[in-house]
Amino acid sequence: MSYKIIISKPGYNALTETDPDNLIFSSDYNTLKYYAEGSIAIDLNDGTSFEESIAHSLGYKPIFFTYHKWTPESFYVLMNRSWADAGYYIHVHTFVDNNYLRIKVRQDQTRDLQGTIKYKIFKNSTGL
Amino acid sequence: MIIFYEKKTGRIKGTVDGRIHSKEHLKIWIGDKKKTGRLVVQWKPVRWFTEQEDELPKECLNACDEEGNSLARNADFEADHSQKKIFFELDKKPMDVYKYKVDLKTKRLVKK
Repeated sequence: MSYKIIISKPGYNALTETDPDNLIFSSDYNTLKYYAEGSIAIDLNDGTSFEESIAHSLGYKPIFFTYHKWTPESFYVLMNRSWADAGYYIHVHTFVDNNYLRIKVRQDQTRDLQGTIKYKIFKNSTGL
Repeated sequence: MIIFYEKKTGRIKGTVDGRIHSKEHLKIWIGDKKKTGRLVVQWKPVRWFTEQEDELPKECLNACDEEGNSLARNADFEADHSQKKIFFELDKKPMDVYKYKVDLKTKRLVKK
C-alpha cells in the first residue's frame, strides 16, 4: 500500500480533488526541492575575466537558477547574460557539472566592474 | 550563514545563506580550498515555548505531556557568534554581507 500527502486549496476536498490547479501540494507531482542558496561577489578588478566555482558535491547535475546584477544597477537579471555595444562586450555565464556550479565572466576590455550573483541550487537532477 | 573569504585579504567571495546548515551544506565550498577560508555561523535556540506560547524554562526542556510528546513546540533563535547583532541584520538583508570583510586575525566581520 502506498501513501501520499495532498493539501487542497480552501473550498476543495483533498480526498477527491483531481485537478492539480486546485491543490497546494500533492506528493503525486514532483516539486523543486531546495538544497542551497547564496551569493557570489564578482570583482573584475583591472582584468578581462573572472571565474568562480561552488562545489555543490551532489554527484549529479542539479537544477539551478542564477541571477546577476552589476553595481550600481537596481535589478537582477536571470542568467546567462550577454551584451555588447560599440567597441565592447561582456558575457556572464553559469555552468553546472556533477560537482560544481561554475560562474564565468568575460569581457574584451580591461574595465573595473563589480557585481553580485544570487544562486539557488535544488536537489532535483536535470537528468543530463 | 556560511561566509567564504580570501585567506590573503579577508575579502568576502561568497555565501551560503540560511540559519541552520546541514552536513550537506557544510560540504559546499566556494573557490579554491587552499586560498579560501570559511566562517560558519549557525543559529541556535535560546528560548523555548509551549503550544500555548508560554516560555518553557531550560530545566523543563525535556519534559513531556501524558502522551510522551515534548512540551516544547516553538523556539526563538539567534546566531551562535560573538557578532550576533550583525548576523541578525544579515539574516534580513544577506547581500549587506559585502559591506564587510573578515579580519584575518580575529575571524570577525569588520566594515570595509
